[in-house]
Amino acid sequence: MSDSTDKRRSGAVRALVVLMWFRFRHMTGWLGDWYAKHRNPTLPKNTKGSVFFILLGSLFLVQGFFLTHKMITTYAERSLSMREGVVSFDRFTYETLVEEAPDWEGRSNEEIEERLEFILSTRSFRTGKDDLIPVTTDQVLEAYRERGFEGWADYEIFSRGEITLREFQGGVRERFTRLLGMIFLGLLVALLFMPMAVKQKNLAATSDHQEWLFTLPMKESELLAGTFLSSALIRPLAYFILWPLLTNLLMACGEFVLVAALVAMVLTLLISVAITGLEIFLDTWMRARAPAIILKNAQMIFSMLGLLAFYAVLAACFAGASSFPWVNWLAERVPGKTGQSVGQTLLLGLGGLIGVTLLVALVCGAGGSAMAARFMKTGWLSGNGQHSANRGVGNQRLKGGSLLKFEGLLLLRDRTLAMQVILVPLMIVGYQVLINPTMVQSITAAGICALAYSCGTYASLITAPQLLVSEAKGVWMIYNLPVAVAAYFRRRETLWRSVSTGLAVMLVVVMILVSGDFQVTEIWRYLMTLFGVWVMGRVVSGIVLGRPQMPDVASGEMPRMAPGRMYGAMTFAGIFGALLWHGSFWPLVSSLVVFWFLGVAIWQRREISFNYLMEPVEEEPPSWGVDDGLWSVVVFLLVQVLVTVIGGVTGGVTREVILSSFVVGGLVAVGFTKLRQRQKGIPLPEFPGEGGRVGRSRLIVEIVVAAAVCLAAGIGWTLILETGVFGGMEGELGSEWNPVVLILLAVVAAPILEELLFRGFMCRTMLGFWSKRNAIFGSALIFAIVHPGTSFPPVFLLGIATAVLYLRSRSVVPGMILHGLYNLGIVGWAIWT
Amino acid sequence: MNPEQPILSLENVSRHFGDCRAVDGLSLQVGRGEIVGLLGPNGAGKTTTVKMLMGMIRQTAGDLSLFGMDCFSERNEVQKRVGFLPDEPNFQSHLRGIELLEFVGKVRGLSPEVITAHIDDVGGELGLVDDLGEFASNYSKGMRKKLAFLMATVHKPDLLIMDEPTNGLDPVATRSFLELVQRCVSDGSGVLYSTHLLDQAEKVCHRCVVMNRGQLVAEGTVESLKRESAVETLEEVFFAVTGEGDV
Repeated sequence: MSDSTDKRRSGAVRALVVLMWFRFRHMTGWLGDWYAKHRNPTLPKNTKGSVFFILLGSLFLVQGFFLTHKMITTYAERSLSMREGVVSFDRFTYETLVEEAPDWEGRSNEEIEERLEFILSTRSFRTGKDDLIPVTTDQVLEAYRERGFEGWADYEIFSRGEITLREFQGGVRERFTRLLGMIFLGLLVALLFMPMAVKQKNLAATSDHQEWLFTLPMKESELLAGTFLSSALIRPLAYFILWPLLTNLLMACGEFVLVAALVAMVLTLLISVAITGLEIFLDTWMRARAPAIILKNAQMIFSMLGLLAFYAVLAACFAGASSFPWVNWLAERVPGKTGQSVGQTLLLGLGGLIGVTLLVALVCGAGGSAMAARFMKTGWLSGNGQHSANRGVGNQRLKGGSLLKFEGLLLLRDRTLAMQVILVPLMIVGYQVLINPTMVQSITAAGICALAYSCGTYASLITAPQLLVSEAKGVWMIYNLPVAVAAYFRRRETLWRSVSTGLAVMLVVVMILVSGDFQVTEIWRYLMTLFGVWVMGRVVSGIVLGRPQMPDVASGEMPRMAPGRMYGAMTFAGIFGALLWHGSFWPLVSSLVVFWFLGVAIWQRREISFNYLMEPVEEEPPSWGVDDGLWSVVVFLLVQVLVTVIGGVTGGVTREVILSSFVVGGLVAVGFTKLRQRQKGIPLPEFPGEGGRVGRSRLIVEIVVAAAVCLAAGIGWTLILETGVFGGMEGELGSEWNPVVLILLAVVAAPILEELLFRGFMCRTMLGFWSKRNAIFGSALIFAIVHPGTSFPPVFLLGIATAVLYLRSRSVVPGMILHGLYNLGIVGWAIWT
Repeated sequence: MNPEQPILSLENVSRHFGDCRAVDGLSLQVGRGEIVGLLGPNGAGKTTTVKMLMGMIRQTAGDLSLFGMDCFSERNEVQKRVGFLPDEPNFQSHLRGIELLEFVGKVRGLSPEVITAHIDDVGGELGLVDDLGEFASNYSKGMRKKLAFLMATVHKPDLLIMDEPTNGLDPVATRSFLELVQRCVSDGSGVLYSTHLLDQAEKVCHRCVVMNRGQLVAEGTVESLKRESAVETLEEVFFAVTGEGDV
């Protein structure tokens, strides 16, 4: 059994090569599969899981592009402004200048410059991105000295770039921000997804599942060196090959500016090398010295450090002025200039940076691994050590309690879950706030909403499949997507909804506070965003169609959802998303989500091995749920939009078009509702409680009182808005309307249609799913949300009042009267004033 | 080495995890050509003992030696002469059975011919040859066990340590597997056979060691154990010495 030293050494070297090779095969997942496919078509079971990840990654890449495009546009703009003294010169600023210009005659240059700086430093709320023209104060001054304000009056000429510092409006800049957006999200996805998913299954040297490796006559140092080398080589390689980079480069095709992104990426990869080494050390050390729970904590800290480093570098590349001096220091030293080609940059400045970072990374990484090996050799550490008996759940036993409490405790104890759901989104935002105050301060309501929406949906969308992987039963569940996701969500519904919506609420509040930008006219937008996050969580989970129960998915207790209903839920999610973000790119994003899910579902159906969806599924008995009411509202809005668009195309959006859109929308929605009722063939949910009808005289008193209160609130609110404390108002009610038409519409048609829809159907169907209180508030909330703009608070109040009346009287008529009275009062007030 | 000297020797070995005494003062010997059954209920300390023998964890107290070498400090040398069959072998999912075998063979410095001969011989016996081109992750539990056995015996070990070896094997495979174990023994190897399948232990093992709560509670040949406890089967011995049968 004894070998010569030479033979042993060469054996070890060969073993090292083999070890590296099979780790490569692991970490590159589908690449290995592709390779395998050409050698043998029988693929390992988890190949399809890899395909799933590629699909998912691609989806979020696209979504990430859209989401971050806007953020980074603002980002880069403001940062460059700070860095190079560029100011945003918008229409408002321009008008202020023109207004002030006569006063400037005869003043000294210093005085003018001072005044100019003041005006330019006073930001106005932008009305659109086209208004932004980055110029320097000097350039404005120079232009003023040369020409006075001559020529400035033609704002369009000015904006076309005579004095514009950079060609920022399209072309290069567009591609630049797009690329950054993709890389940003792509790397995020790669960082979050890949190592963790892979790590769960592999980590050849240290995973206790593969402890047989430690039974081979190979020194720990060899094993760890192999692990480190392969990780150091393969992890970056995997980033490069597997994840978005290649796609991005191909998509971005051309002479875009790559410097900052490239540096960010390269540094990130090198940092990952260092982290790999330290991880190995920590993993080994912890395994020998501490219970598994501490190991998990430590790994989490390291993953977080990696992410922080990534963000730091990224922020350093963009940030103009940071609250962290070292970020500024780094930012100033990022090589290359805007417009410089990639090759040039690489040749000129990046080499040194890469060299130094690589050195540091290798020292840290190799040092960590060497220490681990050394300590193992001395016996102080061992490869596979102690595990606590209470692995995963701490010393305390889980106590019974509410679902939320139980799941909340699990969340906090499951480190991966806690990190993915809470810490990562928090970190993303927190880091932006810390590192890049300029971006945060200049963020608009739309930006805040985008951030909140992306983080909220991130919490509900990204983390679920990720958890599927990290959980032991993950692989089989992936085969059953999207049903499995739905099932999983169902199990954690309460938690999920709370966490993702809570996160979005927190983001909105924090960002409003930090940016100091709040306008009452944006309330609806915030609410729609939060509602969107909330609905997203529910819709994706299929909760909207299901029952609030907590079955064990893995054991098969979970009743399967009929494919048709699931596809219905997906379509609903997409349409809702499209409605939520009317305008520009959001419909596209939402459609992509829908198409992606549908695509996966259809793909699954095609695969015979996925017999899950092929099996006949017992349809659940028909019931009424929240979704039924929502569908009617969606139809209502859709028809309105459709009629308006048709009207707009054929002859402009006139009053008649708006009127008919409303009436047609209402009628179609009511018809749709009736159809649904007939289709389901079951009566609407019962009214709660015993309570008989309220007496007519009492009802009249209640209607009058409620009308008075709501009207007072409505008029009071209008008066408050007119004082301007919350910023501007949206349009003027009834300004261009024929009073007769207006009264017909607002006092007769609207109350009848809306009451039928919101109370007679929506509130009623909610009763099949929710408590009385929730149905009242839920229907009122949706009622208020679909009334856009400034009227949210009084309309919400009206919604509550009419819903209460509906439940008390068990008829929609009192609500119609109250609604009509309220509208009459408001319209009368508007016409009178 | 003196053929009479035991190849595996544990003297008063303990391993504590915090307050938990996983193994507490265990002494045990395995000689050449001997199959020793390591029996005990769940949590008795069998796997911890096996891990200490493989140098994966270090004992808190006591001496463990294999072939006269310390199990921990000289584990690389020890591992060269030991074959280990884990209870639940998990292999890299993107490697085929044949590749895993090649890997292990290379680490152990064996020539391709030796590996091929081993596959033809033992693999043919177990009926795994045709499946070696398949990815290990697609293997059934029984196939994984067979592969793990192939990997553990590729270097003709002097000591074979097996943790629940027949768990997941069908009756036919179990029979050929046990024949293979017998063959190893007749070639002069020792076998430590950790299991809770008592009927199998009764059939195969020359000697049994029963552990409970980290301590040795009974030791001897199957016959002597039965005699001492005055019962008919090993199962009854097990219940008697572990106190599990009182219920």
